[in-house]
Amino acid sequence: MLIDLLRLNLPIMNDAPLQLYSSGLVFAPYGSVIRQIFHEIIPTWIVLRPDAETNWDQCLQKLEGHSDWVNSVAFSHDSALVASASDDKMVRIWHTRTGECTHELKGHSGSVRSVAFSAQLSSYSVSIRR
Amino acid sequence: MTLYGDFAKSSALLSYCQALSASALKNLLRVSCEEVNDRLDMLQSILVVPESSTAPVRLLHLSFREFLLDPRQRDSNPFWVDEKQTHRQLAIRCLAILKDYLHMNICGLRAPATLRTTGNFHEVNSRLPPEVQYACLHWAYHIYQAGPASGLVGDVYDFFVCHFLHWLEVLSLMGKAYESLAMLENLRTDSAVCRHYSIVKRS
Repeated sequence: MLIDLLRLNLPIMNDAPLQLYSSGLVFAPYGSVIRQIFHEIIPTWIVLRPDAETNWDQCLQKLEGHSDWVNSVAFSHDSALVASASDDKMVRIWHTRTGECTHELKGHSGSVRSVAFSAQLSSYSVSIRR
Repeated sequence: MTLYGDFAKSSALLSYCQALSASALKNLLRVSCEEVNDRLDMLQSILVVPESSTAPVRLLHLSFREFLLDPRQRDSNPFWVDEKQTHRQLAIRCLAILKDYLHMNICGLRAPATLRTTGNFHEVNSRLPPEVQYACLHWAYHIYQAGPASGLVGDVYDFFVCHFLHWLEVLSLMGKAYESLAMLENLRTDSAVCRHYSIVKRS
């Protein structure tokens, strides 16, 4: 679906809008509606194109942002948010529906091993263990 | 009376989404400067009309919108607004503006890897006038509010096959890329709409 293209490419589009026409299209599956309609506008300077899949696979979204291993993830109780804890000393909070990273929690001096949401929907807690 | 009514109707619905300036209204509704200024003069008792043609026009009281749209007043209120029909007209206007305006690399960025955050904010706003930004953000809302009987299936299909990527590009330039998902999902939630817009539903 068009929404599949969106979910997988929103982070890239948000950073560099023109990537939509190059990496967004060139990695779209051959059998996808988006490729069938727009294949002619794939930039010609991409001479060697990647071998794309036939159809969209089960991967819904990739949450990109951490720069090191991710040690723990947790869903909020209403599943609207996901928190991730990483060796890059940060905790990131993501909207489940869009994949947008809404918060970057800095301050830990070392790897963050674990993260959890409190029972109160409006707050969350993190823990650290080197 | 007809133009007066049409203008008031559109203003009522537009104010609900996002207040637009007189010059943006002129371009969105495709009326002349003189007509816009005349209508705004006549509507001064219900609209806040700023001196500048680029500052937003707003409803004086939000209750006036409810007064115009109340379905119970259909037969008794001479100013009654057919909400679905007006949304339909606004949807048509939005899609027409986007069809005329959108193309690849609308801001003329030099490299495909150009980061949005390094772009010049004023450059983006000068290339994307308020009515174009409004249309990008709200066309799907007007389509959804117009309902499945609006007969706009063909217009939406034409828009998608020609300008889907251009539209996403503009939303990204505006920093609103993530809103595209909600807009498309709104088109999906109405099952009747979903059946029509199979290009969104089927892979």
